[in-house]
Amino acid sequence: MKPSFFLIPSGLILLTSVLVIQPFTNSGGVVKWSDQHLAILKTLWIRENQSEKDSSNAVVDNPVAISLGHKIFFDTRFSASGKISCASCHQPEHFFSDGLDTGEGLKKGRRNTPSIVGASHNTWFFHDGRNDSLWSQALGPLENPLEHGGNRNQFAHIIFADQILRKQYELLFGPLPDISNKKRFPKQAAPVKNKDVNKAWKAMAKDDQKLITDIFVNIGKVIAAYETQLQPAPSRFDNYVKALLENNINDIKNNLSDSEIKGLQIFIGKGKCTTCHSGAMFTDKGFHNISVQPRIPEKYDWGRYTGAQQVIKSPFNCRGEYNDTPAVNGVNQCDELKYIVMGRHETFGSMKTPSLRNVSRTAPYMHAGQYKTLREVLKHYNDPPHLTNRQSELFLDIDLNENELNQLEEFLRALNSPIAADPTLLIKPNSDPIK
Amino acid sequence: MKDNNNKISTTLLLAILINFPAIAIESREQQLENKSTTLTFEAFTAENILVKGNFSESYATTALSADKKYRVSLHSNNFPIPTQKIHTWTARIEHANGKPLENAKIYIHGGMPEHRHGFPVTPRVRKYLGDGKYLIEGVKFSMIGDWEIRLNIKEKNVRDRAIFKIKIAP
Repeated sequence: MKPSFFLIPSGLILLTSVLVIQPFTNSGGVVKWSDQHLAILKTLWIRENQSEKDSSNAVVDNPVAISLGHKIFFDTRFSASGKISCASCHQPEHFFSDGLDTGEGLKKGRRNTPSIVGASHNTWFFHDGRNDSLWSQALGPLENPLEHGGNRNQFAHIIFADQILRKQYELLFGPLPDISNKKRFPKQAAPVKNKDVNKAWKAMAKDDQKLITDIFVNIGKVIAAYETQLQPAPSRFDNYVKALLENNINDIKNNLSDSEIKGLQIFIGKGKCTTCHSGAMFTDKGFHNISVQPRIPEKYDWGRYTGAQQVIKSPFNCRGEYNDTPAVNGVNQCDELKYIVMGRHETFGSMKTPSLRNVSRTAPYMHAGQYKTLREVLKHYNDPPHLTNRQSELFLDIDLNENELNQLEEFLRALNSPIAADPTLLIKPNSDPIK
Repeated sequence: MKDNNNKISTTLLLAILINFPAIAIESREQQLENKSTTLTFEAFTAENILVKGNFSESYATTALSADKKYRVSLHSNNFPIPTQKIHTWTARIEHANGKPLENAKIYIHGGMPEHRHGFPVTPRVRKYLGDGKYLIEGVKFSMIGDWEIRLNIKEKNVRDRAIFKIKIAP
């Protein structure tokens, strides 16, 4: 009995090893993939129109909403200083990130600015997932004192007074309420930390607060409609997989170099990268603690642990009144919130898995820009630091040599692609195209 | 007499020395015996590997609980088993005598042991469907790979558990 217990797993390990090592064979200069690995490649392949429509946002694919969202995204009036817009941090020239370790709006933030290209595919938003829709995410920075630092009454008044914005808004959501009475609708009011702005908000009638919050939410929804247009186009990797599936020898040879293919083999094999970077966006959309050292050692970032608590309380979450998804039997179907992981040890310090599409263009990396280069990131996985008394999932014995790290990095660069959107959406409205 | 005593002592000493390896082996066997429940169970459940694929029909698997009090059948209600989507499973639990286990409390745990994380969701059993069947809601596999679904079964003062290993393949 005793030996058989150990022989069974040993046999499985041997079989697994054969399966892992065997599939990459080289035939006449073309790597032949096993069916199993071809199936994995297919899961990473980006196809057209595979994005699911966000049912919580009724205007997500409305052209007027996209146009209005585009305008607001670049409009610096939507801030306390009149100098910050969404595009201040999500810069088109940086693939809609900012190239900084941590974001810098009115003040320096504590987290890295992620690219928003393909962000609509996420289930949770922000590094800690404290929002559960793209539109509710867009509301956060607008009132965050470190970012735009504005307030919802201010934003409502901008739309009310601007004939172009107002016309588009009313086409989408019907006539704006008359908010011209500054006593009922102060210029600056919102449920934010700023004492004066908060006091003005509390002095407003509940019904008036609701009118303003409706406008605020609609601003989030048009911004999300615009952002949803920003999708990654197929990369050379995607063209390679397409060629493999179609058995198009020329395209198989022309899209990835030998070195990049070796990097791809490492990516789905020895490097175990698909453990978390899975699916067409190269993310499992979940949260993991991978032993990244806090940016400021004495300020541990609890990540998902606090993010989960925040999304449950958010008035803009899936269960809230602003979700446009038709309710079933009077109940919103919010399974992600219903079965959310709260407080479990693996949420401590966990951050959302980022997409790897165009990853070489969105340095620095990790939730607080701890690493400047892709190579530093790869080295982190290859030889992870060990944190004491914190939960970390990163214990995989990867052990890649320098040559393999080079190949893996080359493959990651092959995930670069243009943004599949109307070129006019990639620049400030009514400005000259980027040359 | 003294010689006799010496002979007896020597014989005893020899007997102890000769038998020492046997005692040691027995002790090792005893240790293994203590672990054998787990090992046997793991060996048993290792046969119950589900592989996500293009199944056209229902796919289910059965395992004995750790203390062999129950036979548990696990059945995915979605085919193929989805990744990145919350879905349901059904567990049917019966006693060793084949009688369905009625209205027990079932707690669901699991995740990816290799990666040291649990499910990206909190699955739970809230509905007893009758005939020993329990609806497991809120299951989500965030990625391909080796997963476990663990059912902790509580019936009055009786507790037992069943583990299913599930391989989510592309």
